[in-house]
Amino acid sequence: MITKQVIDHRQLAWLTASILITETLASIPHGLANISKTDVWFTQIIPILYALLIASFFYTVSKKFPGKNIFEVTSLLLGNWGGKAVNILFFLYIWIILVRDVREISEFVGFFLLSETPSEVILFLFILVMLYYGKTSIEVIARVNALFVPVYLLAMAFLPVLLANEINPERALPILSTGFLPLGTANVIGLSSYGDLLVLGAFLPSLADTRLFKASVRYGTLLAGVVITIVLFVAIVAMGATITSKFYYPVYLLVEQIHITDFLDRVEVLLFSAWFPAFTLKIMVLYSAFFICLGAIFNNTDCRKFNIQGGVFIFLTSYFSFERINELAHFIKYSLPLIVLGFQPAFMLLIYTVSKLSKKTTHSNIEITDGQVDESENKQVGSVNTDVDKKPKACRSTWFTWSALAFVILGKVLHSFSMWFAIACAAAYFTSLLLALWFSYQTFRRSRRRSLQENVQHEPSLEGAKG
Amino acid sequence: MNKTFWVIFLSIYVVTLLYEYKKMKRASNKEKGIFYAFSLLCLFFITAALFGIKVYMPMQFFVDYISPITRSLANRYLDPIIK
Repeated sequence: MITKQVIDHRQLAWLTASILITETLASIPHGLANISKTDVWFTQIIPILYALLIASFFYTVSKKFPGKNIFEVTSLLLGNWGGKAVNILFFLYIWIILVRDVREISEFVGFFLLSETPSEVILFLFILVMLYYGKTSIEVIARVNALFVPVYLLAMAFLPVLLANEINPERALPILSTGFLPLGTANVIGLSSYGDLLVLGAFLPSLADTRLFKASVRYGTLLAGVVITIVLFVAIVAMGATITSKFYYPVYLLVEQIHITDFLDRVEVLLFSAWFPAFTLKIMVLYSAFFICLGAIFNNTDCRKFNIQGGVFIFLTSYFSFERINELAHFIKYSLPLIVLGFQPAFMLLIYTVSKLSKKTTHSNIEITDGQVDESENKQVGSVNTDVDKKPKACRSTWFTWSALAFVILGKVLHSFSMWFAIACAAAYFTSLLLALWFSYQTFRRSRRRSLQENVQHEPSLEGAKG
Repeated sequence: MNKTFWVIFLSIYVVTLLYEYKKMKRASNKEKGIFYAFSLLCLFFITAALFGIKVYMPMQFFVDYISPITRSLANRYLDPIIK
């Protein structure tokens, strides 16, 4: 079956970061800056918390149903027809975000690189790449992704250094002056792109240890969140809020400002050459999930054999969906948040509630699959049982993320008293985010060590059983 | 250029369909169903593109009806605050 694959914990963290961060060079910052102006770099906090919630949801689901992806879990919990109905909704959601991303990347290429080429030709060339990756698995995508995303993340994180001569901190003032409503709305728009993370549920069986899966997703999320915050802050202090909100691709414009002496120009081309494959691979993840979801709707049929038909279908629907770039921008800014908020929380709440209510059914399901799975899956069940015994502790990275949100609210309240309070709260906000990232990295490493120890303890017993 | 592109694309697609069709003879009914559904949809879309017919997609519905409502709400409540 297509869903039984194994990827490294580090690759999963890179995949998570890739899914979240590739949108930064695309249209999202424009929409965020339009609403929240100079406070655009505070628009990542609620999306980060939402992504952490998704990671916890994955942990809960995969702990109860080891070796099953989110679509199989839905079918198990809601029955054949109920599961199919919900999976069809999920399939439509994946299709929508896939079409959005394919169209977005083709518009970007058409705008900056191939301005005279018709959009259908750019889309067709991109679909050829998609068809090539469609034949491979998530393992290949994760391996290639691990080559490009670190380069892109590193380049983005070093933007403050590369743009040091363009930065004027006064452009970020007044800090936290935007009202609660615009800031909240900008956070909701940002949340719609973080919602893409739910698609990783298609690859739940790809990492044997459920706790490691959660730790990887959390680390990837915070890494992307911190880097996006840095990029948005640099965009504000280097270009100002007006230019950031007026230009459709502000981060590309920002990168164009990099001039390292007189001879090293066009640095944006280097960055683009890391961003483009990373975005392409994000689309491949969505494309892979598209087939896994389709397979789950048709009772675990391997749908990768419809790669050509599926790819052509995505190409044609992307072509017909949006006539102009404005339509795409309006869809992302005004409609997609509603789709995400209408579908995802309801879906997670439904699966969580039903899985809590049907405890007996859940255990019997594990026993049934236990008899059918191979040796690697037995290892998985073993590790899961030890997870159930230990109650999960509240993670320090979560506390620091919540404290970052508290500092934003505090800064907003104290802004009217003195600007310095707001500046202090903004500094505390960023420090909290950095600490959250650091502690998530520590948890990530600890989970890896624990997973290795559990596997070492488990192996002799398996060998004994064989003997 | 546009029509030439679509004619070439349609020809390539028909050739791949014929190639895939041979494989589908041994497939189960479900797999055949998915294959035919995808193929018919794709042929319909390509023909529409060839004759310049605009196909109304679900995303267009969101752009035409949902986005203006959200936008007007945003303008009513957010713009006075931002300004």
